[in-house]
Amino acid sequence: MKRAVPVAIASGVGIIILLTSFVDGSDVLLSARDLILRWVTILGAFALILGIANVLRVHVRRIIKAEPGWIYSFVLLAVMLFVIVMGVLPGGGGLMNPFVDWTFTYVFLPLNATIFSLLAFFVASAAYRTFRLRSSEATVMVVAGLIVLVGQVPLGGLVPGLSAFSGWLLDTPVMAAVRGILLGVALGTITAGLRLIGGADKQYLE
Amino acid sequence: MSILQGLINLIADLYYDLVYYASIRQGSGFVLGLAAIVILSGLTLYFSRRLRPPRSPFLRRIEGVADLDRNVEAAVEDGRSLHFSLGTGSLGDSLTVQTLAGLDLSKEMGRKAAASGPPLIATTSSALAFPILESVVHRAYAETTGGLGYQEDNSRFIAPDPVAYAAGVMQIVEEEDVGFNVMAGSFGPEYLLMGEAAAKRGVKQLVAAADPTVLPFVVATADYPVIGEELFALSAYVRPTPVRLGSVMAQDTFRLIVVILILALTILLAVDPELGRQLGLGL
Repeated sequence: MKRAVPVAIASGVGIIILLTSFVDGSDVLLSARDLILRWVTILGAFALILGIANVLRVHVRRIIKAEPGWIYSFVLLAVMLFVIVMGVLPGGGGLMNPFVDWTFTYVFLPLNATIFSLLAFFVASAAYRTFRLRSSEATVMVVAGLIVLVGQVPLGGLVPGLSAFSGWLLDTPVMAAVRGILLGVALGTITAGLRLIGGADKQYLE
Repeated sequence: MSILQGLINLIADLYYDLVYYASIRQGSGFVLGLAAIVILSGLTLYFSRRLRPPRSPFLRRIEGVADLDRNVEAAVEDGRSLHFSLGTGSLGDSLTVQTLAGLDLSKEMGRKAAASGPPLIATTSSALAFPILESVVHRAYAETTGGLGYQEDNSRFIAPDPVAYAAGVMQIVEEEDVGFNVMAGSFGPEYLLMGEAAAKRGVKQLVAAADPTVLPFVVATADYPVIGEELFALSAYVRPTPVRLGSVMAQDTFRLIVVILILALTILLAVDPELGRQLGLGL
C-alpha cells in the first residue's frame, strides 16, 4: 500500500499527459493537464529550496574546514544570499530588482559566456586527442570533421567540389546515422516511458 | 472523503468526455505514434512473459557496464573518489525519461561505492531531480552497508544553469581527486567542458547520452561511451527484470520491423517512383 498509492498516482498522471498528445476535443483532459503542470511548477519551487539547502551545507562545510578553494565557496554563498535577499525583499521588484538585474547582466551572463566560449578550445583539444588514438574510427571522424569544417568556411571555396562534398557528407551519411540514433532513442524513450506508466520501473521511489 | 468524491467525479467526467466528444488527433504522425506505442506495449508484454526465469536473453556486451567493478576497484586502489552526474536534464519535460534512465546507474554506483569504500559524489543540475538522486544514493548505501559510509554531501545540487553546472563539475573533478567519472542522463554541449576536463586529467569515464549533437563529444572524450538507445537499455543490464529485458527485446524487434519497412519501401520506390506519390510520401 505504501508504494501502491504513489505508483497509481504516477501512472494516472502519465496516462493523462500521454492522452493529451493524441486526443482532441476533451476539455476535462486539457484542464487536468494544465493542473498537473501547475503542480510540477510548485513542486519545482519547493525542490529548489532543498537544492539551496544542499548548496549551503556543502559550501559552509568547506569554509569551516578551510578546505582548498574555500574562498570560492565564500564568494558563491555571499553572491547567492545577496541575490536571494534582494529578490525576495518586500517591494524590491523581485527579478526586476536593480541589484539582481545588475548581478545577472554584468556578472552572471559574462561569466557564463566566457566559460561557454572555452568550448572552441575544448573541441580542438578533444579532436587532437582523438586523432592521437590512431584508430580507424578516429581517423574517419577527424578527416570528416576537417572536410566539413573547411567546406563551411570561405577557404573551402578555393578547393573545387569541397563545399559540395561537405554538404553531401552532412546530408547523406551523417543524416542517415543521426536518424538511426534518433529512431533508437525514440523507441527507448517510448519503452522506458511505458515501463514507468505501467509501474514496472519506480526509480522515483527508490 | 471530499477528495475521493472529487477524484471519482473527475474520472467520470473524463470518461464521458473521451467517449462522447474526443477523437484521435488528425494527421498520419499521431496515428503512427499511437500505433508505435500500442505495438511496443504488446511486444513488451509478450517478451516479458516469455522471459520469466530461468529464461534470459542474450544481451550484447556493453564494455562500460562490464568494466564497472574494475574501474571502481582501480579508484579504490588509487585512493581516489567516484563522481556520478545525472546530467543537465530535469523532470517534467521531454528529457524526463533520459534523466530517470540515468538514475538506475546512480543506484548501481551507490551500491558499489558503499561496498568498496571510495567517496561517491553524485551531482545534478535539476532541483526537481535532486531529492530523488539523494534518496536513491542514500537507499543504495542503506541496502548495502546499512547506511555506513553515507554522508550528506554524497549528493549535490550544483546549479540550475547547464554551464554553471559544468563549471561546478569541473571543479569537483579537479579538487576532489575523482578517479572514475560516470555520467548518465541528458546533456547539452556543455558536456564537453566536463568530459574534456576529466579526460585531460586521465580520469576513466563512462558516459551515457542520447542527444546526437553531444555524441561526437562523448566518443571523443569517454573511455566507455554508451550512446543512443543504450542509455535506456542500461537498466536491464544493471538490474535485469523480465519487464526490462522484455522491453529491450521489444525495442530491437520493433526496430527490425522499421528497418525492413524502410528497405522494402526504398526498393519499391526505386522500381516504381510513382508509388511514392500514390502513398502520399511527398516524393
